[in-house]
Amino acid sequence: MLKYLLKRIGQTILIVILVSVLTFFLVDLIPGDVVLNVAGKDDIDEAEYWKIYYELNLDKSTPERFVLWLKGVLKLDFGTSYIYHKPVWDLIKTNIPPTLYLSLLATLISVPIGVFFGIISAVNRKKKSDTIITLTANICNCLPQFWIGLLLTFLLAVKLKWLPTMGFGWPSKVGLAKHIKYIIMPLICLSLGGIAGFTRQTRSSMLEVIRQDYIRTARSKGLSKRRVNFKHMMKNGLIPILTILGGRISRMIGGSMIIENLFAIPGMGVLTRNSIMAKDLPTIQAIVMITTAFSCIAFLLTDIAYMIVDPRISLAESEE
Amino acid sequence: MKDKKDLNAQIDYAKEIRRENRRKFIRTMFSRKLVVFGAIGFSIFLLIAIFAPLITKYDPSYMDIKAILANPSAEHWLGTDDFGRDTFSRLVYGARISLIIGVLAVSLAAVIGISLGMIAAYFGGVVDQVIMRLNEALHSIPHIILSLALVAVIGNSVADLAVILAVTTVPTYVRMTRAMTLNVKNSDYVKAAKMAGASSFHIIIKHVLPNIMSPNIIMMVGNVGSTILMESGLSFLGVGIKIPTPSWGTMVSEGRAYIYNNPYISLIPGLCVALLVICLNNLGDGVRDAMDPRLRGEN
Amino acid sequence: MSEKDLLYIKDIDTTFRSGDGKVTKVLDGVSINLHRGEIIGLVGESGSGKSMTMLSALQLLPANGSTPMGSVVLDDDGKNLLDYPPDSNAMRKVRGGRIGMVFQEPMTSLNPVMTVGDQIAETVIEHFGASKAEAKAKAIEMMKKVNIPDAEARYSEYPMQFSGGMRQRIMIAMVLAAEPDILIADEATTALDVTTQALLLEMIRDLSVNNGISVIIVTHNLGIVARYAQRIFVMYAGNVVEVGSGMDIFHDPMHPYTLSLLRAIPRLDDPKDRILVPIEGLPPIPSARPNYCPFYDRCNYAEEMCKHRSKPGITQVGPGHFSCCHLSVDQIRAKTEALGKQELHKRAEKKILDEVCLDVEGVSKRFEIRKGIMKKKVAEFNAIEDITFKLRRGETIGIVGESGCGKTTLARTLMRMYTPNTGTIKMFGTDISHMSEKELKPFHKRMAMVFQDPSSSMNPRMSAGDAVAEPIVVHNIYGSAKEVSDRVNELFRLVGLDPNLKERYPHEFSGGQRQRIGVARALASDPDILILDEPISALDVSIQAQVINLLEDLQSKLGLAYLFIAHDLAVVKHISDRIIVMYLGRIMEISDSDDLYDNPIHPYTRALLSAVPIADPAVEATRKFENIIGEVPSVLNRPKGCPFSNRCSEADERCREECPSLKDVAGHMVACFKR
Repeated sequence: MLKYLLKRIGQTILIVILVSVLTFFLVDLIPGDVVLNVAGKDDIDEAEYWKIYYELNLDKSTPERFVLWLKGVLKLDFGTSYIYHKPVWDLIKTNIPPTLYLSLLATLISVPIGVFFGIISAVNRKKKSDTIITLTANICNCLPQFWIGLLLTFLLAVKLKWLPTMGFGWPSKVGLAKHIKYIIMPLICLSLGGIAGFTRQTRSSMLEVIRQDYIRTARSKGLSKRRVNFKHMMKNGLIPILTILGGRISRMIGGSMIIENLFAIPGMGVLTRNSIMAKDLPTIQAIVMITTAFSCIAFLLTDIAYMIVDPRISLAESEE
Repeated sequence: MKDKKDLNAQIDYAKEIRRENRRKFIRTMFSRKLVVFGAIGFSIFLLIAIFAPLITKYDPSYMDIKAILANPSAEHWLGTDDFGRDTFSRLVYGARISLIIGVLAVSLAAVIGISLGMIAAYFGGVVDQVIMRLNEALHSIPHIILSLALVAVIGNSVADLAVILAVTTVPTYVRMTRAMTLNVKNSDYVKAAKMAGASSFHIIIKHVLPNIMSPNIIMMVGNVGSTILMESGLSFLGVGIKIPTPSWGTMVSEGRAYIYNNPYISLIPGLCVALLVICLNNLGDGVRDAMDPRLRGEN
Repeated sequence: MSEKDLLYIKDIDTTFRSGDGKVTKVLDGVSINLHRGEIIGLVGESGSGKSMTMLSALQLLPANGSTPMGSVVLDDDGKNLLDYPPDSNAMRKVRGGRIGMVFQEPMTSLNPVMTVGDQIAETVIEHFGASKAEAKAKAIEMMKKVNIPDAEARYSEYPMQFSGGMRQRIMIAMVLAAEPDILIADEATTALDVTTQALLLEMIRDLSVNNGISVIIVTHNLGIVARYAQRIFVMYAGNVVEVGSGMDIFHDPMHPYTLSLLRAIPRLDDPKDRILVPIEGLPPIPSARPNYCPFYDRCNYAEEMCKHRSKPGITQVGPGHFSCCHLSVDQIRAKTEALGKQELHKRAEKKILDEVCLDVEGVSKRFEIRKGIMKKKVAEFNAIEDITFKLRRGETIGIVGESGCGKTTLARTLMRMYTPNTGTIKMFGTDISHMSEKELKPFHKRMAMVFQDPSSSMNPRMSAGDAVAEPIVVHNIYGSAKEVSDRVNELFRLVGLDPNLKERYPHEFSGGQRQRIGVARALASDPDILILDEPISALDVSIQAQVINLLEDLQSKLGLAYLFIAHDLAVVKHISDRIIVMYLGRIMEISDSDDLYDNPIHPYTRALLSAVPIADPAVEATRKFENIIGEVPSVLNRPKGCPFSNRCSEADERCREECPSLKDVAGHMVACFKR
């Protein structure tokens, strides 16, 4: 079990290193002179040009530069943003909290609701409630987030004037009531897809488990329906849900990009968009690295969770 | 002579069986109402995309200075945007762009993904390790971040976006194809072929490919929808398709500012994305059913 | 219904509703009665409804199944169990509490994420309202009762940590924990090795005798019911067609299906020239069963009137002996006699030539187990060791053994899918053991293989014709498409298939037909040697005879040499000239097939033979099951000396230290120090 864990950690590190290589060379791939890209304008004087040139270590060979960059990254030094003229890490530090906060809340909302609907749907298979739930979930899965956001804005903010069209503020700054008003629409947008996803997954894995031989065994023992459903079906049926939960957590930093931009929430999404628009390379590199590391850790945690809930995995690893 | 007759009879019989199989396929595919709905909806979108110039008289990027932000009228059915461009024509041409990008990106991703997956599984060893590690690396960068970063590097023409969106979906194809190829590779029929002395080429073409195609096709149909969704998202963020190419996502983003006066400029293109994706996904479900021999009611 | 009846299942109909609303009847008026303390057998082929009867009685059917007709009465109290809702308290008290069931698949029938102990204890808590500690104590007691070593320690292990046999023991412990009156074993031993199967069934019999538990054995294996069941119910196409004591069914069968079945299956004690008479055709699928007698279409006793009359009802033909046939006892007897005189199938003539096709000497294949990122070697073992034999043209050598004996590895090594680590494989005098793939090509043409599972050995996306044509195309034997097509037609006819079926895909064939296609494919390159790896074990017993006869015909027509691998000793003995008995990778004994049953020499061979039940209660009464210690260990734990030494009652120090090699004992080749 420990061996397996170490193996997985090793794999994760390897992936992060690979991504860092890819990310580093992003800069070299962008067409045009790196220095001019960094300066953001074409007409700079010689002195300024060389200053940036040496700052970027462009006199050194590519591997050397990579090592220098990587050393910085390990110390969370991603360089200085070209547009904000601040250390990239400081930017990220201020932008990450709203993003994580909203994504986490949305996940906490989607999991129980989605699982609940999924179970209802599976238990009432082929009945009316199942049809309605499945259909709704399938439709919600197809709706573009920005469209849901706009529709809500139009209805709740423009027409009914219940909520502000956009903005964000922590309760400590704007008060709890205002804070809640700000986050209602973003949360609905972020949760809807999640609820749909969890519903679909729960339904299909529950239906898979219902067909298994061991459920028949459990029933043949004369166990009550409650016990069969909760003790035997739920535990097996809910295991696959870890996968999409892991997937969702892995996208926590990047996944709310559209909603943040739509509702002007000062999070990672806005930072990402702005840095892409301005070709702010150090920031882009940092964002790619951090989101990747985050998603890798999420996948790793998923695997560990699997090992804890499903004895088959750790046993298979140790016996092999 | 009798032999010849025999042969002809056999060929006719074979044709008949193939026809019967096709009929079964179609019947299973459209056995659910939602699939029929999806197919009809998709066909409408497809026709609109193909015959766009016949449907609307305006060029989607033509700016009518006299009619900026005009309300819906007989001239401009859905009004005009802030540059005086006809919203309806942009919507119609937008279908074209969405479908082109969706289909192009998915085909590209499938071709690359299936090839790499088969190579990795079939040859194994170092080749497999290299392909799979790179694949995992690519897979672990969140899709939207990856596409944004690639837009910054590659650009945002229609072709660029197709490539970028393809890159983000390649890993799924590689993974699935690899797993399935391994299955086929270890099957008894491949062993039988190998022992009969068949070459790797023969095995890949005759055994591996036909057996891995249907799940891939099912995934491709589903992916067209999600790719269109992704493209509209990127365009909405303003990093998608280059202006003035009409894209639904861009239209939503540009129309946002006028949500108080003319909400339809932004809401309708968004609805189009949603409808197209819903149609595609339902059609995909039909394809999945039809390709599942268990559901085709073979006995 | 007599006073002694503990359980009476009367006239039940079970139907299934498919997705498109079609209703299919799978059981058509099945009646079964069970006396207190009795062991009964329910036999039939797959799809005959034997398991479905049990599931219906316990209301365990899937959601789309129901039992609208009939009654299930326990204790003669007049209450119909089918009137209770499936999940009602009353039903649950019976199901699990009074009647326990053990299912076929040991791998999937236990909850994988729950410890085995908890799964047993759960039953105790449910039915006795015991506390957790009491339930645990009882569970451990039950585990000991079914002979699970280290019960205390293994209580908290998960199902996947147990072998198949052990899992079935746990299932039995789970059932026994509720102290039921009836135990249903639904193909409970089918997936297990022969010796494990025998141990388990002996245990069930002991439980029945000592604890007064009544047992229903549901199986397709006629030998098992002959050995263990006091009364037998024969099922066909959703009906019970014959009921009687073991002697009735095996010595004086009255239903044409029973009669035909007994003529179709080989027996271990068969004389040398026994002819198998296959039942032609297939059982009707449930949705297409006729109104008349369901066996009519395959019956060679049938008369014109059978088709015009409705399904025959059950009639008494002797004391406690019932049959479902329009014909009278005398008519059946007369016809049986007439059929016996008529030679339906002449057993193919055997011509064994002196030419040696395959000369295998000292072949071993070693496998390594590697682990971790660095792929460090952690263990290695010989899957086969020191294999030596000669196969002559026209001869059939049978290879038998239980799981892990290396029979499949041997087949693959001979086919050169693996390269042997030691030894030589000579094919017609040329050593092919280390040839490259290119050098092997001409030899591969002369040796082909037929696989076990006809559904997984056919490419689902390739038509039957293309599959058969593949070796021809690969070897470029015939030039034009016409010639290839002709050859494929010829091959189809050779294996008894209509060439018109060429365009069909594997799933459109029945199991038996698929195996014929597999044989046709193997014959396509016109080989001299066929390696048959469990070619009939996935087929129903009535179909097996068809394939066995086909193989024998082909051998005499084409002068083929066969290497026939199977775990079913009776089949191997029937088809083979010589038999190789393998155990954990080594040959234990090589003997002429006629002599093997009468005179087994190696202790393992004896144990194996005694574990195989024979479809004849009279013979069974005279046989003794040689007790064998424990189950087959994993190859990884092969004892140091003789592989069988840790289970052999005769083993001594030398056996445990040294590995005996084959020597001639009374005409057999035997690897044993004690002989």
